[in-house]
Amino acid sequence: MSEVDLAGTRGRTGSADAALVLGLRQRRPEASAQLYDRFAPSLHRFALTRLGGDIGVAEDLVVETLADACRSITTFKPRRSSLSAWLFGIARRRVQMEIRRQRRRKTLPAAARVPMEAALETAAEGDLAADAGSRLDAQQKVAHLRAHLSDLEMEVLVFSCVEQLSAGEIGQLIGRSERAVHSILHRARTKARERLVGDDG
Amino acid sequence: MTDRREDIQVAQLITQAAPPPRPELRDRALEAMAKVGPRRRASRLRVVALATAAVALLLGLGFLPFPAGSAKGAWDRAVAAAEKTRGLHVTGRMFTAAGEFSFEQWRSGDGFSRFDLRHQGRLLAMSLYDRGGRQVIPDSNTLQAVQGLGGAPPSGVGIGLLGPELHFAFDRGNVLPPIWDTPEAQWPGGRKQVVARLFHLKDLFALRVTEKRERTLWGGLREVVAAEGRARQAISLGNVVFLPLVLWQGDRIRVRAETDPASGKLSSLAVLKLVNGAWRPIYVTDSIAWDAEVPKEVREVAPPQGHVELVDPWWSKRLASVLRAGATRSWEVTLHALDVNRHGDVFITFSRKQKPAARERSNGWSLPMLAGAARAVDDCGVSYAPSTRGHQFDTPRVVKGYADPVFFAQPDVHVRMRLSRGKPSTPGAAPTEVSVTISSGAPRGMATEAITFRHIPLPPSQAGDDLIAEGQQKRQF
Repeated sequence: MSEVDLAGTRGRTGSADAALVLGLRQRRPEASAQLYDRFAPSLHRFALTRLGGDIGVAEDLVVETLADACRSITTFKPRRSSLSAWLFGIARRRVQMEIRRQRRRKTLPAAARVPMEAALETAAEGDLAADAGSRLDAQQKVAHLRAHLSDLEMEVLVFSCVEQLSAGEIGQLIGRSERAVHSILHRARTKARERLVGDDG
Repeated sequence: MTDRREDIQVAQLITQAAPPPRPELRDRALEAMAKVGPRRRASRLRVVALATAAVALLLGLGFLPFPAGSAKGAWDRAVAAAEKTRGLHVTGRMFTAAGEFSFEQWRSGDGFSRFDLRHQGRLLAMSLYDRGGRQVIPDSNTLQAVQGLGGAPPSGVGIGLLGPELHFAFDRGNVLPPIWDTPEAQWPGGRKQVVARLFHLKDLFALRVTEKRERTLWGGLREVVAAEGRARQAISLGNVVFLPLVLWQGDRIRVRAETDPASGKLSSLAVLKLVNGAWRPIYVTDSIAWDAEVPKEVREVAPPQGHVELVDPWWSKRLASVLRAGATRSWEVTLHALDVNRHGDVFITFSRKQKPAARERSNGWSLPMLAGAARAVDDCGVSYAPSTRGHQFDTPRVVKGYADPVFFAQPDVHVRMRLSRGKPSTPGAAPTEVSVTISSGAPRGMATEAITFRHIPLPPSQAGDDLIAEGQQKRQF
């Protein structure tokens, strides 16, 4: 059984993954489009959440991650992880590089940057103020959450709650055991509960 | 079960906070994915051996510069040297999504500056400023298009929009006075302006700067300033400054400048931008001549014979006067003029300028002024609202992609605006005065600031309908 066939044995999206991986290895343009459509929204959300809403950087990161994935698709081992976990692994390394770069540059704290451009561009003309306002509210809460949780806790929380990765997959991504992931997730949830109750109160 | 509820809450919050990817990202990503080749596997030893051999070969042949120590302070010395210069002549090229453009730029200490932009040898646009009073700029359409070329903004302005004809405003009346406080630093022609933008880059891009000294192939010395950073905000550097570029928040750039160790003066400058994972040059100088005299023929520019110019005297007639002035927490607002047409519609002309403290607070961000941010009511109780029939807003120097309805990143503006008169409850009532409210709209969570100028006497109504368009004239040279 080839490795590509093996991708088909994993989870609900496994067979779709196998076809997609095969398409990418054969460098078919429709496979690239499918890769973007399936994973770009999640990668974009992950990058935005980790980088404090910096749209420009998040977009760069999505493009770089997908380009890296296409370049390295021959190294993807379906035995080791699902396609989504593998992509998040690439994105995570890029996020960490970006965070180190930002720290060296001592740029503005993420919370001080208001992604007004994105709010204005994505809001419908009619309810510009309402859309932008609720998004800004949510961004503020996420910024509070980010300030309260460690980088690792935030990552694990996003991978688990938003991207629905299993503890095993998260463990492979962050280089920890499944048990350790459960422990980090428990801590993150506890802190999130305190924070969210605090914000609502 | 508590955990489950929190998971859903966190997921909802994060999903709501993150906007979906912008549609244009798809094309960008697909292009980047299409460009990558399959990863080639090579042994690490082989790679190291090849790299070592290549470096040894290049060093042996003298093609690689030899490091010759640090050049700490080279950037600051270049800025200081430029401020003492009597004149400057720069030639170079700009590379944008619309193609390659060449430019030629002169500046002199007496306040003269000229910038010519060419595509395949054809003059596309020219800006000329002369402290003697003469100013030549492209008309607003050309200006917008040229500004668009600098950064390929979302509006996708292309070279085709420039059309076959040159459009210049030779009439001083068409040119607005600058609204900024510091003309020496901001207005073209100022000597400090010569490298002010270069200096500004340090802050705007949070540049990481490396300054080093190198020995060249011919044994000479040069100082190299290499810097990398990311734009903290959208920046329109315009086509009349040293670095004619438009960049957007998050754009990543690299700057490489070479300076002469003896004089400290800049001898070359290149700017690269990260596009789809690859560094591409966007601005490269071919020559920089300091203390250059501006040739007579460069200073003297006449409209070509047959040139038809649209003369728009609106601003020159109104901006000099002040009807009312006031301030909100962040803004200084001046109402310059109020005109009434034959229907009783009011045309207001005002300027809005951000206070320096507010500018610092917002770190250069401006609250967008939303359409409908001005209204009026007269002493008969009739309301006046922004017109939907043209001239809702009309202001110079607005980047095309954001022209309507939001003035994005445009804190200081002159505005002329038509406010249509509502239906009076008492037919035949003749108003004598009006109160005008000007506000800067803002998304929820940010403060909207407004100011009302009360009891302004209404001038006699004029005969026309669209007073702005009807006041314009064509002049043929």
